[in-house]
Amino acid sequence: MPLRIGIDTGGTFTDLVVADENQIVVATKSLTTHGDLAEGLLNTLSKAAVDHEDVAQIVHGTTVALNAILTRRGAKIGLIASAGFRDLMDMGRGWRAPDAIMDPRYRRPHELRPIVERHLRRNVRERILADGSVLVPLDEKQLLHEVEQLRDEGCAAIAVCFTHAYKHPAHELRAAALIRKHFPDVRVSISSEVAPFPREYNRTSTTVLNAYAQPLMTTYTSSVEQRLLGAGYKAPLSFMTNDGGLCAPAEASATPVTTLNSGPVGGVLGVQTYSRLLELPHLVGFDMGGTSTDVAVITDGHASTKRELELEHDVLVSMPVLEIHSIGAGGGSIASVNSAGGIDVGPESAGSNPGPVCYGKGGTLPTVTDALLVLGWLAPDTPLGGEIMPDLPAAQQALQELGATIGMDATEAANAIAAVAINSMAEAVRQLTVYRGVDPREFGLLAYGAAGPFAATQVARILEIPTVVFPALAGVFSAFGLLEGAGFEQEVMPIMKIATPELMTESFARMRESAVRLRKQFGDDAETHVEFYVDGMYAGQRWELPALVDASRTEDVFEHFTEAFADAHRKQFGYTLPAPVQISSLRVRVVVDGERAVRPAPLPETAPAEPRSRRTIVTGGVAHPDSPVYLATELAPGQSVDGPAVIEAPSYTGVLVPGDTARVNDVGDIIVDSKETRA
Amino acid sequence: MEFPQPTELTIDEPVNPVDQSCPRCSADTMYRYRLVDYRGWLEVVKCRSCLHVEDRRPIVAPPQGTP
Amino acid sequence: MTDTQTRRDTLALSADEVQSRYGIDLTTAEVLRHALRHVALQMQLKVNTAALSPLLSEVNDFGIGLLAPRDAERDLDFDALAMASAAPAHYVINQFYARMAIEHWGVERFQPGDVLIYNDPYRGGSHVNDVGTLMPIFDGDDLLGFAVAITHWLDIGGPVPAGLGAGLQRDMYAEGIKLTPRKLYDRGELVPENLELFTEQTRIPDITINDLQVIKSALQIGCDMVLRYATRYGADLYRAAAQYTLDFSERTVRSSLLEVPDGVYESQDYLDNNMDGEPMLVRCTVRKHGDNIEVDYSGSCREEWGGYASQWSDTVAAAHLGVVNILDTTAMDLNAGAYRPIHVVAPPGSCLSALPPMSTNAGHTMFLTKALNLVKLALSQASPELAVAENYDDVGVLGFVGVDDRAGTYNPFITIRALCGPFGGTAVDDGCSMTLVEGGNCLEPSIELDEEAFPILVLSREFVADTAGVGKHRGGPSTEMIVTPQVPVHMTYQLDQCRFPTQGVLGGGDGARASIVVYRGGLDAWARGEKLPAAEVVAGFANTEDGTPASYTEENSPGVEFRNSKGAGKPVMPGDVVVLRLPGAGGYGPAAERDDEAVRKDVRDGIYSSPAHAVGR
Repeated sequence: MPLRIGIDTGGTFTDLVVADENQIVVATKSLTTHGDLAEGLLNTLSKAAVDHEDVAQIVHGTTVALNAILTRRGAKIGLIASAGFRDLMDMGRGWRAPDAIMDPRYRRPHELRPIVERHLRRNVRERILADGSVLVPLDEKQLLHEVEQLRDEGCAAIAVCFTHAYKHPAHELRAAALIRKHFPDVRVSISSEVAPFPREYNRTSTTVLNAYAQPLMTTYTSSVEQRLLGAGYKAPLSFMTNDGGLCAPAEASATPVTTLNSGPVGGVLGVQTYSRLLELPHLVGFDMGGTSTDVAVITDGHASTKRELELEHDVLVSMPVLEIHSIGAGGGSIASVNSAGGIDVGPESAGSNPGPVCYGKGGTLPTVTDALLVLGWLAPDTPLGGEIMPDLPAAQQALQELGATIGMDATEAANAIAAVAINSMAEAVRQLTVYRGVDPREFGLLAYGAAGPFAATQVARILEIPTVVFPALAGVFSAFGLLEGAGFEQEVMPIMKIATPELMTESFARMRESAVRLRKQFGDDAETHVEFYVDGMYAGQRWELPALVDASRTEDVFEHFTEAFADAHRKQFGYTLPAPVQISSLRVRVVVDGERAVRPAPLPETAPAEPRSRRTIVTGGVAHPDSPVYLATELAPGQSVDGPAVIEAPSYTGVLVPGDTARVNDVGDIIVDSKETRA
Repeated sequence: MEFPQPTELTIDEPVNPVDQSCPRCSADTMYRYRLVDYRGWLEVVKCRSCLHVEDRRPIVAPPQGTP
Repeated sequence: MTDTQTRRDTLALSADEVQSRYGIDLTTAEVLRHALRHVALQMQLKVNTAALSPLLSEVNDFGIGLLAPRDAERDLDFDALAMASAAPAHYVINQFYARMAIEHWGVERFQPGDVLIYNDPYRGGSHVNDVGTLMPIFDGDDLLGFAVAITHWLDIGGPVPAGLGAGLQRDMYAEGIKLTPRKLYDRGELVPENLELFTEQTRIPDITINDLQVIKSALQIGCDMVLRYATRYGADLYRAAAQYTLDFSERTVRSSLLEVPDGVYESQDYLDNNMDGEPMLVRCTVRKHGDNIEVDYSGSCREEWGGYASQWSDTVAAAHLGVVNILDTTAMDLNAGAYRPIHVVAPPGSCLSALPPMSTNAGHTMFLTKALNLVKLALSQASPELAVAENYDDVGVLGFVGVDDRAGTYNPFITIRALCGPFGGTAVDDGCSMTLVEGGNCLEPSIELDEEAFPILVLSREFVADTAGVGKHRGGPSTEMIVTPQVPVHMTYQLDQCRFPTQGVLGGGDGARASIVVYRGGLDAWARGEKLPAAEVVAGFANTEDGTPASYTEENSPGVEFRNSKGAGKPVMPGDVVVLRLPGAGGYGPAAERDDEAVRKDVRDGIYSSPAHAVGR
């Protein structure tokens, strides 16, 4: 009975699911233990009470690398750059953050909170040109001199980024070899290994962040491995990567930047799983959390991808990632009224400490959560997260004070805050769809995270999305999605040429050879498949796009590629161009096969649930007295619930507005028809 | 329409005193001159102390009209 | 006084007041106010992702958004209602450029699906390269406003590839094609003869065919999204929300203005040179009383030939941006309502208010930036909290044209870079090291991708020690770029502060001067790390006899001359090394008050070479 386990360590809770074959048998969570994250992970595991002998695989989503960067608690590192390029980290890409375009007092995140300070950024004389010719040979003596100084300054890791190294890595490889030989105690990240993609700033940033997060991540992965072994778990441990793959602990330690988004990506993969399970090929994932709301889009069953993951303005990693659009409006987002009487929600957040006013932990500024409590969406008599009894009068008081400035009472203010927040969330979905020529009306919306189902049907109504899903495991959804991840090996081959029939024939041959090489790493009995990607852009464009091709073809290769690229471009941008395609790189990915999709356990056949209680909820500015409140755990398969109503699950609360009709399926997913309009 | 390059090396907007005190701040004089508000060119009678605008008249923008 | 009382002293309206004044409930008004900005951002995203011109796809040299409906009772007159986050100067100018185009064309002539195109800078525009487009938003027969854009066209014909080219375009007839408003699309159908103006008369026909269609589809997104909202809430509520949104921005600015001490504040600066090499004086008087403000550019020098002049609409935009930038309104909505409290005096015939037939192609960026900074320098005297020292004060431009024959083919090319540079010190902190002047928000394109596309190598781009204006909060340091062409090229360049330093405020020091020099045949020496041959000054102070650099302190010495800091058509050969150095930015407050730890870090980081340099001794 081989069990597969997904564990996602979040900011508040560590979530876990256990799958037996294709069915979830355990879903649980416990508090995240900051300071020693591995402990919380083990706590949650022991709560699941599975026999460790039965466990075949553990997939982990972690924010260790991300937090190291966001909190600037990474290692002291040095940067070795091509002579003349050491200041890129402070230059970024020049532009200001969108909310600072008019701000003469703006400073860049890296100037204010440096990751590698200027005196630890060193130039080394070398220059390779775009065509591979060497203008300035690598000055090895200078390199070793600078690294020695950096080591003496206490740098634990060195990032090396030279111009054009993604396709002409000779100098970087030589530099890495020299540093490793002469300074074996110093870790080295080189750009051509970490992120072999064009754009000197993006690659420098990626490599610097990698070096910065490496020591912490290494400590963490070995700590988790040891604890698991100590507890008797011998199953292989994998980490979720930004692009939905899995990697071994050693890889996660070497390139921690590939795991920055590992938790949220689990959620996106879960949406992808549901897209298949419920046969909703176009599905929006909607995850409302404490400080932000994350949105992802599945089209034709596949999550959309992006070329970079930006953590702060121009602080980014540049590599293919699953696309997640995040806006600063979540449960903890602070609502405010500005000097001209405008209502803003976020981006400032009360976080979990002090948290919303109703937490009673000292927060005085009203948040979205306080508004939802006042509107009756949150139960006034149920502990938040099982722990904190909400302080309704305090929330009312805070909202009343806010409302007083614009002549609104507490409920009116709460309603206005909810309306502004919900509309911002709908705009976040538009951001991922409209410019592509994709119509949100053809999508379903799947809401997860503890707060996603609060506003989901209202967001859907703004976008005219007809179907909303609250998955049975909404509260541990990222952990659930981790089980969709697949192990893989990848090779990237930079090209930077205009596509011609000759080039494509040669490229396809190179990709086939690469696939054979990669396949060998899995052993003979592993079942795998190969994915061939060509990253390109129409000549003149500046944004790469991956096209999935069939490189096993040997005839009409160019025509096949041209068509595949046009398809990809149409899907991403909504149109094609009659222009040649510039190929930036070839990517070959050998992926482990196997039916990984899992479903929640079926609900027992019971009598339809009766409302547990009734309370007034306010939606769209209208009070609905005596709205029924159902417990999700009591709902029977096939049962229908009409809005206005509240569905309370152990890990989430869903709100139905008038016109919504929810139906419960065999595993407890709640599928809402949100087409009808009713006053 | 073409205009000659001015012969003066620096250019001032001609500001003509109007024999009327400001109804808002009682400054002795208000002035008639051209300015651009958020919608376009105006000739105004305006107080230069409290910035009260006593009279405003839309005019054709000088490149199309008379400088 | 409680917090609540403080707030009621501001200009915020109550929900009842909003309902009675606008006929919309505050919640819906707020939802639509936020939504309008998102519509503009969606339009921008479409241009970013689909355009071929790097100025649009990557550099963000455009402004796009919505104009309000016309409704006399609501005091709406197609005012700029929502603009995205690209180049601020562009979206302010939309208020004049688009509205004058509508008036010129005749509002009654519009049909659904029409797109007008125009680029006559003398009709409320900026310079000929900035092409205006607009599309009516029809809800049935009801005109709900326009979707509008200003996009910088990489080339618009004329004698100088890519335009600008100070000194080479004597008057407006030498600037390239100039269109009065006409149809690019007629009821949804492309008008070929108007497209052909671009394909036949500019140097970028292929890009143009794509990008004009991209702009149309971006405008269409704006129209569609407005209609979605108008359908959801009703056209009347949309109008009400438009009125509310403009008034909201006005209230934001007025309530900030109330915080600024009343008074008359003056500033002045010079542009390095006119066509004949003489400095050009620019002056600004700011009169501030209550919640109104007047920005008066009287006393500025006259317009000059050869591109040394700018449009009144550019100057008005600069004044608007200068006021809202220095006030703490960074999160405000960007629309015409914000500019209602601001009056601008732009004396016609001055360099800031050109009259035909002066050329304004090159002057656009130079004077817009000067005029914007003058407002900040003047208001810096109003209170120490507001004060901001001078930034690098021009959109630095470096461009090259030539024929790329690296692959054995004949490939004419134009490449142009808008250069980011340092900002001045402020009450809060040191100045930013590198970003674009506030009129734009361009992205620095990837050097690696540029080197693939064009035969121009960037050998270095790095900060320079001892260039940042000292102060309690110092300015940002200069950036130095070292560039070499791989084929024979002509260089276009535009810098300022090569002759005069950027100004510190409240006792802060001035920044270092900018310059451009060429080391003829210097590449081999550079590559070997050896001393470069004698420098030839392109822009800055030079010894007349041999062209070698001279110090600004020798300005009046015999045998020393100033070479203009803007120009085009400068031949540069393969093997020549061009070194362009931007100015350092000014400092804020006396350097003696600088924190010791900050001095230590600056010296450690090589921003200054010694503690004495860091405090200006």
